[in-house]
Amino acid sequence: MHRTNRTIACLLALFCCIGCEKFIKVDPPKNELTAGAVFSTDSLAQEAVTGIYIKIMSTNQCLLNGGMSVYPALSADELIRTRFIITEDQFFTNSLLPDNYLVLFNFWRSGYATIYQTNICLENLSRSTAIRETTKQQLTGEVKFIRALCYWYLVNLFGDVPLTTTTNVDVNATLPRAPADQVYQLITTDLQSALSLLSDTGTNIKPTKFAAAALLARVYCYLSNWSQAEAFADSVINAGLYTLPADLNKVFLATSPETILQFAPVLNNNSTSEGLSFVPANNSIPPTYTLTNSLLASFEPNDHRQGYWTRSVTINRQTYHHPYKYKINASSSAATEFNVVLRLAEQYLLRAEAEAHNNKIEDAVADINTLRNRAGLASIQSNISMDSCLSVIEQEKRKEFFAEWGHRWFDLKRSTRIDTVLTINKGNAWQSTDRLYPIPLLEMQQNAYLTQNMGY
Amino acid sequence: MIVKYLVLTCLLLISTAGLAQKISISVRNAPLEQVFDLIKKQSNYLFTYNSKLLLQSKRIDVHVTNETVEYTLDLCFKGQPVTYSIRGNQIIIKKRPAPENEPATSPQPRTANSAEKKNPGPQLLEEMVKTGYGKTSTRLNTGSIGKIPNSEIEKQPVNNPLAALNGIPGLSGSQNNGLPGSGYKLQIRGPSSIGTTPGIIPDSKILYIIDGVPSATNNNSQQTIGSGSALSEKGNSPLMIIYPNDIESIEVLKDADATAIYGSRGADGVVLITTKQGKAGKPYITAHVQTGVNLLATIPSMMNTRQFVDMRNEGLKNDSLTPTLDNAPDLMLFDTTRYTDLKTLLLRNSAKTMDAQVSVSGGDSNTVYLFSLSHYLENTVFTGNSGYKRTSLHLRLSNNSFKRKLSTQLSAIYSADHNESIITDLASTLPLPPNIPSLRDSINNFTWQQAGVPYQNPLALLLQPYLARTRNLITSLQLSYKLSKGLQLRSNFGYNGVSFIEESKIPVKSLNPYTNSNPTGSLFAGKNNFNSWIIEPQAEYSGDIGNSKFTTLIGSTFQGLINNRNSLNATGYTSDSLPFDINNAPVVNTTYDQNVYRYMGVFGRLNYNWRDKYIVNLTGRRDGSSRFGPKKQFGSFGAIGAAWLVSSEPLLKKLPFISFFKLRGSYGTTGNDQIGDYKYLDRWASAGRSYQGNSGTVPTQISDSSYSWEITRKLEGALELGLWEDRLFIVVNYFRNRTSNQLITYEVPYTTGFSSIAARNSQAVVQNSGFEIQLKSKNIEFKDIKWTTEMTATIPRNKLLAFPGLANSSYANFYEVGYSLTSTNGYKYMGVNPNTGVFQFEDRNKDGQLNYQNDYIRIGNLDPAFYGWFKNSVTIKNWNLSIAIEFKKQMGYSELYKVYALALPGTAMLNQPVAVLNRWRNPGDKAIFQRYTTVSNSPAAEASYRLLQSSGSYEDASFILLRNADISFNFPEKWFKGRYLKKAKVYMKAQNLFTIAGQKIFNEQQQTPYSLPPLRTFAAGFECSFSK
Repeated sequence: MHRTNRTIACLLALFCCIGCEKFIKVDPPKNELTAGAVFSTDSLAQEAVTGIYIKIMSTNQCLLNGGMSVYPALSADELIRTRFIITEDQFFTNSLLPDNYLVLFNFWRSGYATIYQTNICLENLSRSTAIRETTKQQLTGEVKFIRALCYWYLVNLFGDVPLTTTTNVDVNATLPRAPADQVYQLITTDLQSALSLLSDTGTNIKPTKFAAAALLARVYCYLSNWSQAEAFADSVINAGLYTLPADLNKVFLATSPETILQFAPVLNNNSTSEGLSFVPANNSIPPTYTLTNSLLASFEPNDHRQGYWTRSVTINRQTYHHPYKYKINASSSAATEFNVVLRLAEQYLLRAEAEAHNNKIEDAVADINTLRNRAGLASIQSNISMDSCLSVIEQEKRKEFFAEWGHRWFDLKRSTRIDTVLTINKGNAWQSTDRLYPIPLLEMQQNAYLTQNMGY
Repeated sequence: MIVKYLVLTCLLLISTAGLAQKISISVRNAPLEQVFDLIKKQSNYLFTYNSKLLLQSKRIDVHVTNETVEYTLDLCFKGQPVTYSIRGNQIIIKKRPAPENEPATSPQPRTANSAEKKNPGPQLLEEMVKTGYGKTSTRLNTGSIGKIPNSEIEKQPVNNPLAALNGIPGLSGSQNNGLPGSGYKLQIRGPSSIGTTPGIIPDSKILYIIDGVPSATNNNSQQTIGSGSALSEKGNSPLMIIYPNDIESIEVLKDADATAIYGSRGADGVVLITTKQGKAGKPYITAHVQTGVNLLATIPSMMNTRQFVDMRNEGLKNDSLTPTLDNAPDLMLFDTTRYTDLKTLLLRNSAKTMDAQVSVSGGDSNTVYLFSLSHYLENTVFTGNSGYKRTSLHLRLSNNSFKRKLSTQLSAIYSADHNESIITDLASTLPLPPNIPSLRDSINNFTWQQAGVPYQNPLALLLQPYLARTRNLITSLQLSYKLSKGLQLRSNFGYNGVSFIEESKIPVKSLNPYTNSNPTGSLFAGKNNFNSWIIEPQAEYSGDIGNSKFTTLIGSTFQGLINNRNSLNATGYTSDSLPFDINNAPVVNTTYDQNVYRYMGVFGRLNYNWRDKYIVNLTGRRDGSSRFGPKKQFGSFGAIGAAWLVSSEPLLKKLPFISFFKLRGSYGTTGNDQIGDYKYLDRWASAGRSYQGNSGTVPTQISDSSYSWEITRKLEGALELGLWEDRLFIVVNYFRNRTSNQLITYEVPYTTGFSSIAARNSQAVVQNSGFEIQLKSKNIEFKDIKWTTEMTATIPRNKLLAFPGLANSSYANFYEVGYSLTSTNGYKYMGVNPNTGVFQFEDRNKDGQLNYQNDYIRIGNLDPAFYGWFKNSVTIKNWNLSIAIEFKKQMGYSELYKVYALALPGTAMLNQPVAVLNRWRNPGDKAIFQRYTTVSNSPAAEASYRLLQSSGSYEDASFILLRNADISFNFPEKWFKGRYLKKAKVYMKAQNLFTIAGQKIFNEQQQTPYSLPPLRTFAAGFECSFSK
């Protein structure tokens, strides 16, 4: 019996005293890193930032990858959809419903996913002591630029939006919408800081100093800060790094000298989201999106932009015109076209706009003519009023930037003529409140502090 | 009425963890001597007695399975004038001394009833049920355990053991779709978690244990590959790998008393699967072969071309549009007289099944073996060559040695299956337009477009194969050693290895060249390996103190699981002529992740039994799990269960019609750590692609390392009543489970960068309560005719009890305290407006606008009001007929919802069910469906969007289903006397035979409208047994 007792005692000891905590401690997954480790070396931190570009380019028709070229163009007077898909049709008919999943996934979620990545990178970059200062500056600059770019599109699509600058989930989950001014404040601060952190040279597949300047020129234009807008556009145009190729077929090639910033494709089809959306996969099938008659009518005869950047196909005696800036739908060989984010032509038009407002009509007209001449059109005379100069700029921008990054939609939005223009094009269904997209329903339902835009 | 016959079957089983060998005996109305003979034959005990002593003994009923000799003898001698003692291997029978507290002789008249009542107890009560780390009898059980024995499983022509769990109260299950291997969901006592996606209740986290080894996969999805498969959500159902007929019984543990010994893993219930054991004796060979057909059941009947074209034209007219090439390519460019019945083109009416098994068992008093080999085949109703194959080997060996002190039990199940399917469920293509052009051209190639209008060619989907193969080895070794009287040491060693391999292909030929300018093929492959081991050393001591018996158990668990997931996506194959080989692929993306899980626990149980009258059962467990962050890893759980056998009280003995009356109850806590591994870490992973040659990493989850154990507090009270010798047996349970500190993937708005936090405890407290009623009745019991009826019913109620901070949480718009989790907020649906023909909703604040802030009400409680089973079994001589009917009263998604969630009736290129013809056409019409529309900005389009968020999305979805019928004929055994053939049986069985349901368009049990519904199954077979 004594032996039995001893055995029991031993067993009890065995049950209880084995190093419990040690037994259930497991190492983090071998093939993964935790945040601390990611920012422990220069090259790992570099990979974390590269992850931002990869994520941006991993989904087509999203905020920073092609989505802006399609849906706002449907909302504006640029594109028509040839096949009925209700969620896309809602853009075209300006009858977006708050549960439209494209608004949720392609714009809202895509934007905030990227913003989260930028925030986590920024937090860790500033915290890390292991990374060299030059690397830290370069990466911080790139990341701030991307954050500003995201917010710029979000604030212009939705108006006031929640402003997340941390990775704290409890803060971010209950944010109300920040006034647009505040969002613009962050955008300009981020871009100014990117401007000072980034170097002037470097590959254009990542943000550079001039990308920051170019975006600042646009931002100041939208803020009607004409002197700043002019100065920044000026700095880009005079940097001497970018030129306008005479051949319009080369503007959207990866090698184009006009490109200030572009993102390289990462998907297997080796093409751009725009190419995939606009160029028909097969010539016996109508293109998915066609250009509106009003856009086609706005081109003057012999405008190379119509000749080179649009194309028509005739199927069943019906002719379809589609955007043809990007030429490749999909390819099995290496990509020759990248997603062009910022290009020099815009700087000419931004500078022209600023100059017109600063009453330098002659300079403005000169900038307009630079683009007109490239498009094979004659110069216009400079003896015009500020108003007509501005309206020429709007028209030129429409033709230069059709179906490209929502330029037309945003230009209409900030002009006073949006209601007139779109009532003509869309009929009485157009309502002034349609200029802002709805805050996604699911997002509203999950965050009690959000309010909806008027009209939804 | 007293049945004066003797049925004698005797089984000797040497058990897993017995003190000595354990025996199984089933006799009715047998003299004691006969029972002694049986015990003698199957143990090495000898009996010593004076025959005269036995003259006054009564005939007895004894039904024990796998019990100790002592226990069996206790039963035999209960109420007898004799008793026994054991000396070595001698059992000595002697006269029973007069008990101190009872009169020596009973003066009661010997009526039939009182004579019966003194019997040890009818069969039902002595039936053994498995519990965590042990077993008990129905009579002495203090917990709530449902059991499906093999006799029930073998009646059902099911391919998945989970589908055989018929008639356990509190348990509900559903099959994802009608393909073999598709997922099967089970839920025990209601949804306990508010879940990941608000409004979508997650699967139950049931713990599955097979012969003592926790399943490495549980019932979770194993699918890793990007292409998905027609098998839907879950992919291959992980537990389908077990051959149903290898199973001896499945026990479902429900209340705290039964589940607390599993501590942190028992919150959502535990399913114990025990495989068959061998029988001692000469080699006994049993074989069966069965063949059957699966028939296509309810599938939506779609409009024909005439109806479709009319719908389209009417829709355009409603929108004041004329058909153009843009808005009506299906009318302008397709032949509007052509008709293709996609249903008959893509789906066959029937598919074959085949099932065969051969098993050998035998052994002597020390060693018993069982070996079986089975093979199962099932084709699908898809055209093409898809089908499912499974081969299983099952081995069980048990041995006693060292003077019966050491008992060894080995169990091994090895199964391999092969599931050939395709990537897309063909039923999902039913909404293609019925005037779709010919799908093959004159030279038999696929067509993809007509006049510039591309369309999906459903036949091409048959060229996109999906193949899943599982190899599963579950093996356990149980050693037990009897150290001294009453003290036993034992240990389980278990291993479960699962290798799940998938492959799918998308060849160039299957892609539409008119919508892909550069169609390239792709290959997906996945490997999901699980390696799990478990060691559970235990010590059990049982003894007597006076009139009471007690059993104590202490033990511990050490478990480890390594899960390696590899998936591969090779793309860019420009031609199908080369083999789909990774080496030929221009682009290959691979992902790999490894999850390591470690788990340990210390558990104990103390069972105290006072004269089989009062029983108290205490269980407790302390667990540690690697799934939690630092300092949160340990949790303690425990329960108390008690039973009072009222019928053992002298008072009740005066009510002779009450043969058994037990009150039992339990209260305790269980937990849950099934949230996935590493959720407390901020994780970064490779972005999978490269940016101009540079690799990148991305954050993959946001974490909150403060989460800890989820706790379910379970309360149960039950009454068990046997009347008239238990001919009528009633069990009524009340249960109340409260789940708090809910461990969930916590939904957050996307401004956080993700849609959810990997794991967090929600403040919600969810209560599942209800009544479970079980009625068993022996309606007729004669020698040649028997009729039994069993009815179970469950009346569940689910309620969100509390949710502090709900108003400001991301769940505010979905849940409301005091309401069921399955209810939600939405508009009040008011039918189709007879004047406008558009769905209308109540504008509650009458501001002329509909918005969710002002006009939502609480809608759509999808909890069943009640559900249950009605089973009958009739035996006439050698014939047996069994029928099981399932019924459920519930709200479900309405057919309106199922139609409008997919598409607006009227839109181009999309067909609708014929029932949609009942639509609004002219002012004054009373219709179910609103006016057709073809555009997104019509009032009808907007109303259809609101419909999906309104009470119109729900309707009565109750059903009565003839779930199972079985008829069998046993050839009379006298035919086989003196032959090698010992038994023979022919049978026919059927599953999902017939349904009565309110919903007519779609299958009432399926939420996904266009997917293959569960099939109607028929099978017939022959079984025979041989022995010398």
